[in-house]
Amino acid sequence: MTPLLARFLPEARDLIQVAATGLLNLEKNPSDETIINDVFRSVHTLKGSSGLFEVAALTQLVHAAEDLLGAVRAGQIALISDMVDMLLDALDQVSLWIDSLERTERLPDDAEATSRPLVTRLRGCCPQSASKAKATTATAEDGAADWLGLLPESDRLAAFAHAVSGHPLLALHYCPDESCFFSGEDPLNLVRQCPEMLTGFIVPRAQWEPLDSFEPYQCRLDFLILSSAPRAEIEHLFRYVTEQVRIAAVAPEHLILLEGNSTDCTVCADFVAAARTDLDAKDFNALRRAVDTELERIDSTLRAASALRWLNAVLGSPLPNPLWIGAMVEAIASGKPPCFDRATTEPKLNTPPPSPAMSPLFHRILGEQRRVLSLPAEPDQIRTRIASVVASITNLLVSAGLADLTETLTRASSHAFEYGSPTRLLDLLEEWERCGPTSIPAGKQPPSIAPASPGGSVASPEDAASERTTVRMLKVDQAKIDLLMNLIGELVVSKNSLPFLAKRAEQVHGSREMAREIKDQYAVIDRLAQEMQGAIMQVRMLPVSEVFERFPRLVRDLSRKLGKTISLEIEGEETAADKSIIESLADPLIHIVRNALDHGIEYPDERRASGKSSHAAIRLKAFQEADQVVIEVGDDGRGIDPAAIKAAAIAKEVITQDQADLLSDQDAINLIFHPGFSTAEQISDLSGRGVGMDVVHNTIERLNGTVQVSSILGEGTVVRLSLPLSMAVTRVMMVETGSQLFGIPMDMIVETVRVPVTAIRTIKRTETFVLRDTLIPLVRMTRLLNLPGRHRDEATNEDEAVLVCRVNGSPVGLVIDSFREGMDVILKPLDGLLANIPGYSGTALLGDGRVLLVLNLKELL
Amino acid sequence: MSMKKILVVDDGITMRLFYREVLEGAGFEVEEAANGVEGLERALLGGFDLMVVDINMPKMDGYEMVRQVRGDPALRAIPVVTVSTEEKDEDVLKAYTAGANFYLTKPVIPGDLIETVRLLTGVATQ
Repeated sequence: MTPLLARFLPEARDLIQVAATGLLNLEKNPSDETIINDVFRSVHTLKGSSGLFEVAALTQLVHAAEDLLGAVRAGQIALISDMVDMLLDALDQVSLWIDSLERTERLPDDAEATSRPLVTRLRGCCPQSASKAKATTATAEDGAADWLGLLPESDRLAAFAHAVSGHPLLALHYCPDESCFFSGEDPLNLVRQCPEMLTGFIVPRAQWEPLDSFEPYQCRLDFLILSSAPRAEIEHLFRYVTEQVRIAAVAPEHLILLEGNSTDCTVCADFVAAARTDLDAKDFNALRRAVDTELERIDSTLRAASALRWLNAVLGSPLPNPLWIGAMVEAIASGKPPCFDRATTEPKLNTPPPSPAMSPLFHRILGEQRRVLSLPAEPDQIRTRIASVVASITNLLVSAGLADLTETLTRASSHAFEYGSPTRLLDLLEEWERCGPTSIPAGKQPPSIAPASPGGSVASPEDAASERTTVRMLKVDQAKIDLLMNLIGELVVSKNSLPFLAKRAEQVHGSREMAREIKDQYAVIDRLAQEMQGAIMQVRMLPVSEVFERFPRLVRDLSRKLGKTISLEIEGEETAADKSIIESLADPLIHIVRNALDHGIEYPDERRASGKSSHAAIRLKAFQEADQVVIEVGDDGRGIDPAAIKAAAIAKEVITQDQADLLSDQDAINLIFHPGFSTAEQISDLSGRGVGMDVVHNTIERLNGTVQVSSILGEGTVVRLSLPLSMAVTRVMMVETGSQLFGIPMDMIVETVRVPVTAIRTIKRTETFVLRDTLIPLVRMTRLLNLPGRHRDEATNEDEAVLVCRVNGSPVGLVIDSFREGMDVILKPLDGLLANIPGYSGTALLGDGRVLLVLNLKELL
Repeated sequence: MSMKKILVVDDGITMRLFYREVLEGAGFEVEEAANGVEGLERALLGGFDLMVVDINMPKMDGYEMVRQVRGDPALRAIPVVTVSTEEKDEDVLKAYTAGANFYLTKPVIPGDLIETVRLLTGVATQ
């Protein structure tokens, strides 16, 4: 893949994303200029970049989208939902093509065919002026139309009168494709829509076959039209058949074509003599009278009569052109067609052919400098303009090896500077353009002049400005970040050995000073290590907007599909969490949102019937709460009916009637997390089949998070996901049991209590105790882990250390030997042979080098 | 002779790479800026022999950037080429009024770009 293409692909994806997001916002705030500008510019930039590659279909599609957006931006049309749909479809298609470019470096073979209907749809929405695409300007400009003679003279005379009074005149030659009837075209209807048609003419194409072999389903007609509509309108009308239409501007004199029988030229000799006199005297009124008289006198079918009619028309124009009149009079005199060559336009500059050494570009640039100089300018602007033009031309000359000429230029320019007027300079340029600068001997000196000498060094391309744009591009293999994090984790752990070292320095080696220095150093390393850890965690942090940004589209598309009106509100999308958390959030969230759209929110009729606004709302809200990121999906739909859930659960044999009677409403609602549970009477294609909230529940649990559902019947439902901010660092509490240390994840622990031995009761062979009116079962860690129990003197009435944890939703008390400190550890899963041992979530290194086993209580209990 | 230094200003990252590849390939030194504001900052630092400026850009468009470039006495003589997808005369004249010397239309043909830059920086054409 070329570097250019490699650069283009991510840029294109970014631009598509920006445009798509913008479009959705735009739909909500159609008058927001910033958004439309952003969307337009993204598409515009995309078009510009795509032009560098052989992806015509893509460029055309983007171009069509750009034109439509341009029209919206210019306020020519209002953006409606259907257009947004079309634009989104187009962007989706472009996205697919970008994927294809990434895989195969080319567009699929059917790209052109795919693009065409999309382009047609987009162009169909464009108002006339906006669709003035390049494709249509490609319409052949074939000089003067060659068929004007086919038009009757009366039509041409009328058109002439129209044209000389200042209207544009276009000649259209439309040759519909022979098989056009099969592609749904209707040439006649198209032509009838032609704006400001002056005259139209239908002619058979070539010679028609005899009737018995004639193919009536082929279009064998050509359409000839004269119109005075603006070119853009004509091009718009014929935008789908551009290649079948030739449009040519018609100068009025092109219409002057004589007809009739030629006769002896002497018929009008007297008139010609009188006309020449009148012409010399510029007495057009007398000439007109003479023409009228002559017309009455001679046979109207004569060629001379036709010439007289035209002369009359020329004289009748608002500003009679004496050159035309002269040409007509001469035509009558000679009996030949009038010659307008000299008469047509103002005399052209007699430009000699450019010297072969000068490229066309050289002349173009030189010519453009003249244009720049002739533009009107403020007095203070003009000197600036002269300066830049002189510099440009100097370089131009030097580049072309004409450095000698710069002296002449300098003279002209100093005059121009002095008087603040570019006249002298313009004269010089005109002269050069006319004669070619090479007419003056070319210099042989090597190019030596550079007006703006490259001065002091400027910041290198890698500095801040370009970095700002590359930052978004930085893509690092996640494994590298993970490695970095592991290393920092080990650094954090190994620095923990320094306090031990300090203690040894003091106690074993008796050096208090050394101990103090080590402690000082420890403080510094500790701070650095913590900052590094924070920084690396930050690298892995992503805003939840990464996940949220797909929802506007999802909600929009699904609500349209379902026929519900739903608006999505997003809050706190900047809330950040670890990449792995964010990434695994996507699927559960989509599921929850789809559920809400599909089952939660009622149809508009139903909403109105229950006195709600027909417009439903879904709220996605993210925020940080302690060390957890919380995401709430709320809707104002019908809510969950606990009774319906119970009934369904019983029907599905998830619970028994007796169990159901005991369930609180909240517990009933929680049943939706039960595997395979679904309350909707009909399974729509939105929420899928057989995959219920239990999947959501499991996914979130796997991330050490929790799901809660709260619902008020008739008012709505809120699903709340709480997840750890980061899975990288786990806070554990160290406990000692059976003379060994174990870690227990802090998020499992509810509280620590000391329970007097006397308060422990045995109920049904299970030890229990009562904590604030709740009966809590006790589990002895030593027994759970099969460790030797602590030798305890029966007589002593010691308290038991009990760690109250919440496992699978219910509290349990773990009897341990003693509590130790809580600490942040980097949890590493067991691997190798140990990987399959249940009951442990992983290991962590302690400061003194020991390994701490962290328990997984869910598996143990 | 020292290398001529070109400032290219375009919001398209691909376009910038294109300019860089084409112009560096032709022996020019290239610096990039992603919008008019950056472009102006860069231009004001000086040292450029020519600027290639896209018209439609965020923050500050090409017209405004060129206008402001021309407002600086040190920069008023540097040849400026604007690039745009529009080829309407009014757009060209707008660019010239702002202070441009020449314009190219997208998609830019590498040969035209090189020759234009050579001609306008006084580098001998081959």
